[in-house]
Amino acid sequence: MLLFDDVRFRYGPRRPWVVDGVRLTVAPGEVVGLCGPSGAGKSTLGRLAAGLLRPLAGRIEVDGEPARPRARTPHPVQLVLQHPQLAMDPRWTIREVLAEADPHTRPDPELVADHWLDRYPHEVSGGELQRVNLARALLARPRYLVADEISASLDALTQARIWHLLLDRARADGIGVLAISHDRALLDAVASRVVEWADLAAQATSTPSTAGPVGGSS
Amino acid sequence: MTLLRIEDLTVSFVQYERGLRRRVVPGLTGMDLDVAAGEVVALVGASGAGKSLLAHAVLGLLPPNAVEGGRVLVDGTEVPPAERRRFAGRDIALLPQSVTYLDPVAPVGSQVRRAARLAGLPQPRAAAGEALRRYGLGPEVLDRYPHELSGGMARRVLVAIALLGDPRVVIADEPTPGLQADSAEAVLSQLRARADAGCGVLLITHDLVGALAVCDRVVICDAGRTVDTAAPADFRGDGEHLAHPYTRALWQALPANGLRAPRQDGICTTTGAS
Repeated sequence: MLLFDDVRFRYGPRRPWVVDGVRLTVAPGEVVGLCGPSGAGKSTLGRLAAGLLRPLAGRIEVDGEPARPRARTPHPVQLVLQHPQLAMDPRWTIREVLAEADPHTRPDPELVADHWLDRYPHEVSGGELQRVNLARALLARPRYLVADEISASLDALTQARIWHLLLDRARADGIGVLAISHDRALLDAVASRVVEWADLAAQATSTPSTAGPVGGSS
Repeated sequence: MTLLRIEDLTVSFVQYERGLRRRVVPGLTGMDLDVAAGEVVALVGASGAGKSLLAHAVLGLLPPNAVEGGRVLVDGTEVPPAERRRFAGRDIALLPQSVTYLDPVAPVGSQVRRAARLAGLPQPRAAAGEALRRYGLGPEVLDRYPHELSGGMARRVLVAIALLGDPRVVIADEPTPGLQADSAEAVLSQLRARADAGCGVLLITHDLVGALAVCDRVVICDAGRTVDTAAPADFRGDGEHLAHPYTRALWQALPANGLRAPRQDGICTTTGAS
């Protein structure tokens, strides 16, 4: 279970809370959709889950443990972002980009064509690069995947293909997916349940933020 | 009246690998479309299908290693690649895809004023302020740098810059991704208003639903060539009014229509270069 328990975060002591007491769970193999307008804090929640940011209060657990990977192992929660070209070193070939996650395993041939491997990120299309991005996240053998607007820059066909590929892999390996998007229709099509960001926030304000965590370990 | 006509446009890139061994990478393999005054033509297709390449070819913005074929006609007169830049920013304006087309180290005001000068306006300073005001941006924006703007504001700055020279043809390259629904609709309806005022608008997009709301015709492209032209009204139901299989697949792949992805091709159709 990927667990967010009363998680709070803001980007500075005087800045407003971006994530304010969020409680949310994603079970293994479950696809949870998180819907809301841009600027609400959805992406910040994704970055917190993947360990790129630390919560200022509350806790995030992965399968019952704090999400701190051992040295030299990838984080069990992998984040896939909207713009793959910003998530890769432009001077690395796609082979090198993928080797960062796992130098020994061949990437999934359904996701990454062999003839892309020696190209640079700018030499394949946006949709193709997003498949490389997804393949890299999967090579890290994550237990959970945060898919943050991964298809917002893609056409409908490429979007449908990448989601089917992602859902196939998630189903096969029991990976839990947190799908973040502003597109409710998309989330309704891919997720087993959809949570509105506004409801997460409302739930936070209705529960006093001083309440202890669910597990009662405070 | 046809303002812009593109006939069998092809673009390929010559690359050198390991010394003098040449390889030719095809980009566009045959694009046909035309845009008349008063209409919005949507060019819809997968990413990597060459939509942006078409825009850059029409404006003469391709890199030197590009090899072009086919014809581009402006007002019925053929314009060879070397002369196309003459039209850029004046008769034909590009609304670029990404907000990274703004200079990150120059304040917005100086960039808009520069565009006004390049468009040949007599009073660049006044024109810049007026252009921003038209898109709901106040004078405080003039002194800001691009990173100090929200995505929606940066997009409006790009729109203001693109339309400064009062172009007759606007090529809008993916003007809506990253915008919230209401700002995206605002951008699209601005383009529609432009067309209604007599402009020709080529709307390059992967957002079929957004395009259908404002366009007069939809041109579908796949793997570097145009494959179909359809009327917006044909996009309904399960796509039974759409003749071309690719167009129908695109319609059926929309989340609201079932997020269906045909399996037959996997990787091949989206690369185009194999």
